[in-house]
Amino acid sequence: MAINKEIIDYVATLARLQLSEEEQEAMVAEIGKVVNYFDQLKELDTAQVNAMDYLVVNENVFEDILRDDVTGTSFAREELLHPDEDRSAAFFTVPKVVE
Amino acid sequence: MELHELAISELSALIRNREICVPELTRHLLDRIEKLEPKLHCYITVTSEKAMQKARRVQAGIDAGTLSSPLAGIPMAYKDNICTRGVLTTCGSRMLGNFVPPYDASVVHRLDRHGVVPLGKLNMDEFAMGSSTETSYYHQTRNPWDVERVPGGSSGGSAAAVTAGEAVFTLGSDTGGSIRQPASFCGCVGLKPTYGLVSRFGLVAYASSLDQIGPLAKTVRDCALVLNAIAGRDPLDQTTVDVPRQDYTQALTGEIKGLVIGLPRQFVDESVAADVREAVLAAAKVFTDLGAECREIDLPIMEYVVPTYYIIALAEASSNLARYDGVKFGYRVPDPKDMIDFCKRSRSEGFGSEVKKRILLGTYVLSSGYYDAYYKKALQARVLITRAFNKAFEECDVLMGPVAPTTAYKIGEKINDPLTMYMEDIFTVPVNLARLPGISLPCGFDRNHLPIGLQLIGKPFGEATILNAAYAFEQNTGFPKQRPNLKGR
Repeated sequence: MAINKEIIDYVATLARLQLSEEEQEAMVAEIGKVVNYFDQLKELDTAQVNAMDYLVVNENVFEDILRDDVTGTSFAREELLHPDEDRSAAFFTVPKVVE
Repeated sequence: MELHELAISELSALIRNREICVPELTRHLLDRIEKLEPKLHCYITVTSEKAMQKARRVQAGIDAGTLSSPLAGIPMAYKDNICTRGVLTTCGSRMLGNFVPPYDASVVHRLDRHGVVPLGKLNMDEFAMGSSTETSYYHQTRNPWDVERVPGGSSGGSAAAVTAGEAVFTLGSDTGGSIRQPASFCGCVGLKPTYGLVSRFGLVAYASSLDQIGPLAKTVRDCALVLNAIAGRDPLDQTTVDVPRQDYTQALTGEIKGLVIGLPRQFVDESVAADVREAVLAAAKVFTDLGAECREIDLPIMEYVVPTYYIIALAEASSNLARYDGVKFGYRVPDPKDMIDFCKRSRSEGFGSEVKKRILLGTYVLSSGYYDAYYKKALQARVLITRAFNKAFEECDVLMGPVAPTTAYKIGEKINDPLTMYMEDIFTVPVNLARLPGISLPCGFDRNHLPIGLQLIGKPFGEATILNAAYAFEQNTGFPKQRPNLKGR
């Protein structure tokens, strides 16, 4: 699959990244090289292979994973706020989302 | 021998016998850091005051008899992608240049209970993406054996600090070789545990099905001591496995008669530098002389391990790094036009170019239309790779080979050829893909007197076996004892 400017643009939009003209050109070349390299996996016969093999599945969810419903560590709000936020804020401040 | 040249057990004995006190030892290490940092840049943050405070508290605990761990009073440091409460944790990135975690990683919490004295946070490739510590936003760590050369990566600071005596031991993280390769380039011991042995809670995620935290130290015994403290099921990380606790130092008998060590053909072919190949073959002879049986095996799947690794790692990375949007933490652009602009520009200005490239690649292989051909294919290839290694372990107890095809190269030599750098991860990435334990230990020097690393790979949760084999090698050769000449620097 040949990488071109349109594909890089599309992927950058998905990844919420903004590239300059030079960065875009560089990415087309470099990403193109790497994807070409990835293409060699086509040679592997994986028709009968289940991608989920070797994943350890714990079936005893309630016994093994869910803990008792007791209060654990709590954090003071100021510790969790972004350093640029007003320390007395109760929310994270972002630009307007809903028009 | 100077204090910073001693191993954990030697220092622990001096502390217990009251021949040195913890504040004195800590001061010695801090002075050494101050002296060497202008040249080596192992650290991003040095926490001198906190270290001295902790040193005094630990000494009081030792005096009162409440702290008796072999790690009590030992000055060490953490790679800067391990969360440390109240201490800047940057991941080598501008994106987290202002991130002070409100919590400690589980490994930090565990080591804290043992009474270690953290000295600071170590330099690394940005978000652990790199093999040379050249992508750090902050500075370039230099190899103590030759300061014009890379220390390896991404735990370059962790490895260089151990070798240079700027920490008695360090913790690093390994996703595709990031503990083992810098250990190899810097001439120290580095262990990547089996996936699921050590908690990743508080490790800033790169690729969640591949990442593991592990120790770097001067000796195999030191690594075993640290592993004792950090291994074990953690309810805060549901990927940790409930294996029976064991004392890994008990396994260090040096007795390896009858051990079957497989040496894959593909690990010693022409792609490996001649000096490295010679050192690995010489190591095989050491093992044979000690009573082990070394046999050549065939692993043709090796041809596909690098693309499989990079597809999976970058796909997972693109997902893990999606959280960096400037909202709750991290770099924020000051005058955003709207939410999308806020997010895009914060990310684009906060991340370096290698990180951006990997996010784009990861997004691409997961995107509609390409998912099956790349990501799903790579998951299937991972199953085949795991199967091939499991099959090898039906006849072998341990596998051996080089850690990397070369020794440390010059700074700037390979950074503009990322694909070549990716391909040099060939011997380390399959160990992460198959979720196996791997240890790197010094086994010689090349013609430029640069360290060569030997890798031993074990069965799942077979740390005791590879630690013992490594110990046997170490005790019968002089390599791990050599230190770079840093006098006058």
